[in-house]
Amino acid sequence: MFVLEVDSFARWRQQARELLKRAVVPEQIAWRQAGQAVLDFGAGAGDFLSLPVRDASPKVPQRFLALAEEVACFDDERRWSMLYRLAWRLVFEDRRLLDLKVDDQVACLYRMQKSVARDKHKMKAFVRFQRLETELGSGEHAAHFIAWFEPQHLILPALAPFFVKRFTTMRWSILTPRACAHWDLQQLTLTAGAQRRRDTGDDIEQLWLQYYKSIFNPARLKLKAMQAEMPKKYWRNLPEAPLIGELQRDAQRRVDKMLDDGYSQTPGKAVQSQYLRAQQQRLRNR
Amino acid sequence: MNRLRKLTILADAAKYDASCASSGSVKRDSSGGRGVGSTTGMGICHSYAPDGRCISLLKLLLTNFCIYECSYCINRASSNVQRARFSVEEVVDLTLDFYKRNYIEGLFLSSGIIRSADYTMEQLVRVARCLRETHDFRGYIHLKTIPDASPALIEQAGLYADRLSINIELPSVHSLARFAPEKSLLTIRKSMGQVREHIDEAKESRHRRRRRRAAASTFHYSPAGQSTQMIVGADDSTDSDILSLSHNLYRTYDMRRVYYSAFSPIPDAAQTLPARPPPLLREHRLYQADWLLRFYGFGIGEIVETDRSGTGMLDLDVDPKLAWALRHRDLFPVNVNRAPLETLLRVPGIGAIGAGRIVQARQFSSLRFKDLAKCGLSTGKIAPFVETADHHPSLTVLEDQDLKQRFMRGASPQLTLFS
Repeated sequence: MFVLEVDSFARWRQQARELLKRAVVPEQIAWRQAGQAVLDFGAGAGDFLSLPVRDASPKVPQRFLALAEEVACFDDERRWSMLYRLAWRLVFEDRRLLDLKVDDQVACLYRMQKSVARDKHKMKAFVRFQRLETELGSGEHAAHFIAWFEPQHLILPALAPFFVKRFTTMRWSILTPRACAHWDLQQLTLTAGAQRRRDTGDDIEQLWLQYYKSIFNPARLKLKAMQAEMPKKYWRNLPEAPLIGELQRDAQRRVDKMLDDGYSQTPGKAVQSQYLRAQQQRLRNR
Repeated sequence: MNRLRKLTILADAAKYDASCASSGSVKRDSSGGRGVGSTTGMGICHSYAPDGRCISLLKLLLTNFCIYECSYCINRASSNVQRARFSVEEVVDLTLDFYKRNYIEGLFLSSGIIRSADYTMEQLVRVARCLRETHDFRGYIHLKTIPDASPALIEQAGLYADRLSINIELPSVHSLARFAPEKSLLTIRKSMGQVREHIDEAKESRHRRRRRRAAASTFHYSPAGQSTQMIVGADDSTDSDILSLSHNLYRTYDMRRVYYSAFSPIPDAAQTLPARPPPLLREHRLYQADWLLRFYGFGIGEIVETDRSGTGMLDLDVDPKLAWALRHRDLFPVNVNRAPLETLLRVPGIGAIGAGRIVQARQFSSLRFKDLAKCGLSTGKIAPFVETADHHPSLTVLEDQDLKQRFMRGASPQLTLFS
């Protein structure tokens, strides 16, 4: 049994390559997340390098590497061994394995990839910045945009470049429990995880909350459709989420009122204007 | 009037526009620029309202003052609704403030008609130009186009916007004359045609460059295409009328989307409207039918039976594909291991993705019934319509008069709120 420590996709890829060169079967390897206490199984990581090389350049499809890179963000320690098992099967069993969607391991790979991709997509959507004034070294003040977010998977390092490209001209930080990203207009820095924070929103947040209330049409209440796309697990970091209950409770009353009030009885001031009526007539006669 | 109050009125006035899409544009980002913004081609929905609709764009009216008298519209001239007007700068600032907090992908701006079509259109274009030129904003902009505006303004609008839309409003000339008397179908179609021409020219300029026949000079014009919206249920047009018109619009103007909007109860409604709004389910069925026409190879005559006893209306009880299958039970069951892709796409419960997975997976080995679940399909729904080596739906199931009832039990009560 070989015990291997991995801390990133790049590291896993490098190790997996050396293992595949030597045709080491998946059952012989225990993958460990770096930084966690490791039980001593009596065999170290380096040992397998002394095994003879069977194939100097084992090949997996490019498509698998793209999938694996995404699955490497999945929040489950077993991901590394799962990825290796699939890499092994691609090299030694069937190169077309990824098309065999009914295979349990392949199906599992796609499920994990889908979960990560969805989490990434939702993070792009649901991160909410607040504008704070911070002091620069020189005593000057500058705007700094800060967000706290809790993704399901370990996706921040992979997503940070997206935010850099979108908000290139803003200083910002995105804080999550397991990693933080900071952009200072020049450089992206990743630091360790942070504690939950919730600053009282800036004045624009009040406008956003009002917008959320106003854009809702009470005659079309569809909470299930909303929750399918905005699951409750994200609500605690969305400033607009606390409004949902109130909007829902009031919806039926608002609709009833519109229906009970019925048709307009008193035409507004506008139609009493002769100028306006002349303009309407002109348009109608075209 | 302060900004909060204006926002309240002008967002409320904008919510009857169904579109909020931010997808399908060119890829760009803010690196090397003076401002913020990016588009990835994929839309992002930043929030969802309790009505299940996505909030991707800041959807606003520049003003809800309007000289038109469209009876289904909350902003018609005679309505007693409270009026407000944003300045160009106010909309620009609000868009940037929201964007920087990651609330939105960009702006969807529309307006009531004030003074004249050209004056109004010019204001809309000024907002877009200010965002792009003064602030180097690279997020998404959707501009509602006033059909009566001059060609020069429509031409400018598309140079700043990712998408333009002109509402067709109602399914027939007759209904338009009755419910939107100041609008003219002729002008609407002329402007749609003009937008299409500009879009095609821009595409052509990029193709030329790719083929290296001409040097430089390419441009973008409304790169995410154009869309339109039709009000459903205000007049007596049938689903068949509506779908025929959509079909024509998709073909003639290369529309990306036709949005259907079941007209919603509004405060201070005009007397010409029906007393009750149509069931929301009707709108949903129209979208399903629209999809079948565009992506599943169905013809209009197959979806809405207009000939025989046909009313020209879609069945509200079951989705249009299932309804078609129930009328053509002799074509089932379909053998999933042998049927061509076009046939698989016609099986209720098999969508485009599912059909693709079946075709891919069956190259390796013959599929058993339980493999279909692994292709992401709901075996309960497809069971009566497919066969595999280990699954043959008994003929009695397909001949069962209650087959339709079986599917109706799962219907969502939410959608039938008004029926």
